[in-house]
Parts: sequence; structure tokens; C-alpha cells
Amino acid sequence: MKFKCKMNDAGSMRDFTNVANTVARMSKQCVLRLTQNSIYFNIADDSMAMVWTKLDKNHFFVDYLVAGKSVEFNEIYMELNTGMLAKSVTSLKTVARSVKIKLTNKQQPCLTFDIELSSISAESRLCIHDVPVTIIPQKKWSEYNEPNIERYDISLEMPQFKHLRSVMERIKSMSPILILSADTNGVLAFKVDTNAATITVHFPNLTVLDCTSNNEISASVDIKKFHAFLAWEAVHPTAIKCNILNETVININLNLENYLQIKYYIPAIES
Amino acid sequence: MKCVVSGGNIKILARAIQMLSKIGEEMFVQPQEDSLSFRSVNGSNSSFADITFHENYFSYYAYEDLDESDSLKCKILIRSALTVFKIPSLINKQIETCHIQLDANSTNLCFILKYKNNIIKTHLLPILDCETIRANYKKEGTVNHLCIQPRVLNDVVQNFQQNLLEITIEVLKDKILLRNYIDETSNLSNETRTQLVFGMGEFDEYKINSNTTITFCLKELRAILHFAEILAQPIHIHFDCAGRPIVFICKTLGVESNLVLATLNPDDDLGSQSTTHTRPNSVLKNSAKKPTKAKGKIKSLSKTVFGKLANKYPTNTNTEKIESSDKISNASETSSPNNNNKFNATNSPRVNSAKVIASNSNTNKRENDNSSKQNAFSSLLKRKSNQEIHSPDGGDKDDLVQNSPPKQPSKKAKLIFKKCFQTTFNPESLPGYNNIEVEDSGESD
Repeated sequence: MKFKCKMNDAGSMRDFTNVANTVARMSKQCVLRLTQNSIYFNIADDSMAMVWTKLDKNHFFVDYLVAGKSVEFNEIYMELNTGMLAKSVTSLKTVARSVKIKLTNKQQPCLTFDIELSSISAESRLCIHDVPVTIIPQKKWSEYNEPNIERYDISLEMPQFKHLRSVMERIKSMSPILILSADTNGVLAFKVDTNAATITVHFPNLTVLDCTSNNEISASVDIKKFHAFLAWEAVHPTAIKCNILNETVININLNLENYLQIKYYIPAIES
Repeated sequence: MKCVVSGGNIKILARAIQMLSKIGEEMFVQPQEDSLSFRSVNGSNSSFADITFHENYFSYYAYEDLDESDSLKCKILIRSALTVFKIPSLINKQIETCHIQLDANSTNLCFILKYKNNIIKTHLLPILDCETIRANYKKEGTVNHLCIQPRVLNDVVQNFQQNLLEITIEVLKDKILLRNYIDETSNLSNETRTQLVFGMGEFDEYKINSNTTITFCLKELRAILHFAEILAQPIHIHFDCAGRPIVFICKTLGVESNLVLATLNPDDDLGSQSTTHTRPNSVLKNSAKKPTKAKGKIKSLSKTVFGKLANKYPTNTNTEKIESSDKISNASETSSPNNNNKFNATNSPRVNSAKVIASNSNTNKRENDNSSKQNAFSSLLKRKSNQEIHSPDGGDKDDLVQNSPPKQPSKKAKLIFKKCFQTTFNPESLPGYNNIEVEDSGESD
């Protein structure tokens, strides 16, 4: 089992840090999946919203090497503490020149970050962080698979983050449940129900990318989980897409120039 | 005693109090003939800070009654001093002068702040006690001496986690290694281990006469870094070896701040986990295994080291007559051997180090792991779930890591029944000897 890679580019290191920080804000633990083409940060938990973040190796890394247990299972899955990961990579955002990431065995499996920092003298500082990880055996890999949803009832563009944020900040404390509904005219509605009032916010004129029926599609979700997704603004996605399967699941797709993809699943709850 | 601080110097004063507030709860104010000292010591007496403002720092300084020097020393709560300079970012713009006044036998220390718009604020800080402290340490002539800009050191320390308690510094001839100190109580798998290497080129002065590894508290270091930033002067670091105090000095013409920290004495130099050796050679053996061995010891040490200091420190210091601070450090070095031991006291509780013997051989396994990584992780996982399985095939005995001895479950029982085998033991002396709980069984039937 072997993994190593290197990041030189300041932009990539910044994006990587942003991803690590946002993942840390979502969950305490995450699963890092290393494949031949990409690395994934998965947040998968029964009670939590689920996130699949995919980073394209060609954009982020040089000297990328993953060797799994065998040719057949040429991937590595590991679980790690997101807080430790995020703290270890903070220096990447500003002062680092390059970083090597590798899987090491120092008394226990560790994800090691060899960070070369700029310094005032000719030789640069070398900072090494060992983040302990737990390797996930192959037989448990299937637990971390992405939900397989063939087609959603409706797919449409999401409004801009700043509009979402201003709405969500106001309604998030009103009710534990957010009812999200969309129709084929490109109107996305956020609705909260309280004893005193019912508030619905409409975002009109959104592009509908795909839909299966002309009916209004809606799903009720935990408002905190939906609000949590706003943290992904930190990575400055270029496109946001919202997919809804009627009363089953909401899937939000964030994309940054095709090298960073975030899929955010929020299961619907009974309303 | 009366003095006036004006202009930008007020900011320095505010930062000084901020720094002391990170060290201890109380602040000792000690006016001297030509200087004013603020001192603080932390609860366990493992760190001591002294900030001395010289005459030229003040726009006016009057010691006045020299005869009553004893009555002028005082102790106040640092929290009350902090409230005087609550908004340090604002004060240097609005406050013109700050008067500090301390009268003999007064119950209050008086801070008078004069604002630009003719507002005058008077703070009376209640005096808790009339005592002072001083610490014995030598500032000069230590084996190792470093000098570094606070900004550089700050950048370096930034790489460590904010809540990190202790840091280990390993100094070598040409470079310095900083590591986070991993406490043995914490599980290895919950801690990021960090090591940072930086070269001597980043120091203003670099004199290392012996390679040393020392461990001390990071919080206090951060405090003096914050203070040194405003002085914009390099920090001088003096230290000998593990177990001996490390002294940080940052001074300008008007202000001198000293910070003395106790360092951990783990008997030998294996304070924290050396994490960075990956090659399965002899280096790995030593560096990767020893920490496991050190674990048991260090726990008790860190408690005893600081605890011991706590006992010794105040009794010695409070009672002593005040001398000028320069004399203290040099003069008493020889005169009172007792004092010299203060930080050295860390040497005595070293007894327990000898008894750390046991069988831990999973480290040998580890080497195999390195050569064949395929098995490595499966076995590691297994080990993880079983909480350290020890395989008894302990290969090379020299490098064998020795764990603390397994707990003897029978110990208590032994203790209880041991008495029965003592020749001088008379069972009749025990209370309740005549009571019969259960009658003899058998025979009579």
C-alpha cells in the first residue's frame, strides 16, 4: 500500500486547504479515498448529511502515486479526524512553498504532510505533520459508496451563495424543517412553517436542466443540514446545481472548473 | 512612588500587563530606586516573568521615600490591572498619560489615565498583600544561547496547534527541531504530531555548545512573543539542558522583560515522539521506540517537576529581602545553594525512572511492517482493535522497548496477608479477634 503526492501550485494548495477546512466544519471524521485519478473526501454518517468531494489529481498534484492492496483493489480508504487535518494544512494557504503528502507508518498509519515553508534565510523551514489515520479494510469499502441515484425528478441551477446565505441566516432558527420545492418554470422555493407564520422565499428565473414531470417537486429536510452546505462557499464554486427526488433526497452539486466537485446529499425527512 | 508614562509607552505597559496576565493570577509590583518591576508567577511555580521598566522609560519617575522601601512592594490581582487597559488598541490614541502612584502603607495602587479630551480616569487597584517574589536564575553564561526576532519565532510557533500545551525543542549544531510534546495520557491516534525544522540562518545569534532537547510550556512563550513584538527587539534565549530553566530575555533601553520557564526533565532526551523517521534503520529503532518507554516516566515527571517547584518556590522567595535585581541573579548563585536547586529540584523525583521494565515487543513487529508494507496495515488494524497485542518474539534485546511493569493484581492481597507471616505478629492484638463469624463446621455431626 503506497500513496504519495506533491503540491506546488499556490492555487491548488489554497483550494486544498479550503476543502479541508470546510470538511472539518461539517464533521469530526471523514473518509479519504484515494484512487488512481482523484482523491475524495467523504463524509458519511447515518445521522448526518453526506458529502462526496472529489479532487482531480491532474489539477492538484504532481508525482501522484497510489498503490492499493492489489491491482484489483487499487484504491486506499482511510478514516481521519478532520480537525487535525485542517489544522495541519493551515499553513498551506499562505506561507508554504510546496507540500508532499504521503502515507507513512510511524508507530501507526499516518498521513504525513511535509511542508516546505518560506523563511527569512536561504534554507526553507520544513514542517512535518503526522495525522494519524485508520485504514479501512477492503471489505468495508462498500459502506462508503456514493448513493446510486439514476435520475432526479428535477435538476436546476441554484441561486447565488450570497442570496442563499442572507435567506438562510434569517430562517434557520425559525423552524427545524425546511421545505424545498421546485417547479419546471425555474422557481425554487424555500419554505418554513411555524405556529405564527409561514414564510416562503421564491427564487425565480433559474435554469431548469432536467425534469421528469411537470408537477412541483418538493422535499422537507433538516434546516441545519441545509444551512451547513453554505460553508462550501469557501471554495468559490463556479456552478451550483440542485437536484431533488420528490420527498426522498436533495442533492446539491458544486463544481469548480471541473477539478473540484462536491456532491452534497441531504435525505428528506417526514414533514 | 510616583511615575508618569506617556505616549506610545502606554501601549508597552498595556502589553506588559497582558503578558503577565497569561502567566499568573497575581502581579507583584516592586518599585526600586531607578526602576519599577512587575512580576508574576504561575500557580505551579513553573514559570516566572519579570518586566522591569527603567527610569528612562518614564517621563517622570520618583521613588521618594527610600527608607520605606519595604512598605512599597505589593501584590495585586492581575485581573484588576487588566481592566485599566481594557482596550489596548484604542488607548494610545486617546490616552495622553498614565500616572502610577503607590504610597507607603496604602491599601490601593493608583492608576490615573489622562485622556486627550480632558477626561481623567482613576483606577484604584486593591493591594492584596505586601510581599514580593524573585527568582534565582542565571541570565549569562549558559551553555546555549540563541537570539531570534520575535516575528520569526512567532511564525514558526504558528505551525503548532493553538491549544498545544508543551513544546519540545531540540537544538543541534546547525539547526533546530521543534516538536509538539505528546503527553502519555493522550492516545497517539488522537494527536497530530508535528515537527518543524529550521536552520541557524534565521537566528541573529546561534551559540550551541551542546546538543540539547528541552520541553517547556508553549503558552508562556506565546505570551512573551506577543510582548516582544511591540518592543521590536530580538529575544535572547538562554538554556543549559533538560531540567534546567530556560530564560527568555527581551529588552530595550527602557524595558527589560525576563521569562523563566521550568523545563521537563525526562531523565534523558526523549521527551516527545520523534515522528519523522520512516526508514527502517537503526535510527528508527531508537527514535521510534524510546518514546513508548518514556511514556510512563514522563507522566509522573511532569506532575512532580512542577509540583516540586511549587513547594520550594514561594517559601524561599517571599521571605527574602529585596535586593536590586541584577545582584540577585549573580550573588545568590553561590550564597544560597538551596535556591539554586529551585529549578533543579526537578532532579530529585527521578527515582521512578529505574523501574520501567517490561515486555513490549510489538515494536519489533513494526520493523517487519516497514519492510513489507502489504501486511503492515492489516496487522496495524488488528493491533489497533486489540489495543496493542504484544508478541513475545522480542528480537534484538538492546533496542527492546521496555514498558512499565504490568500491574500486580495480587498486590493488595499480599499486603493484607503478609502480616500473618511476620514472627512478631500477634493476632490477638487485632480488634474483634474474639468474634466468631462462622462456627467450625464438620466433625461434631
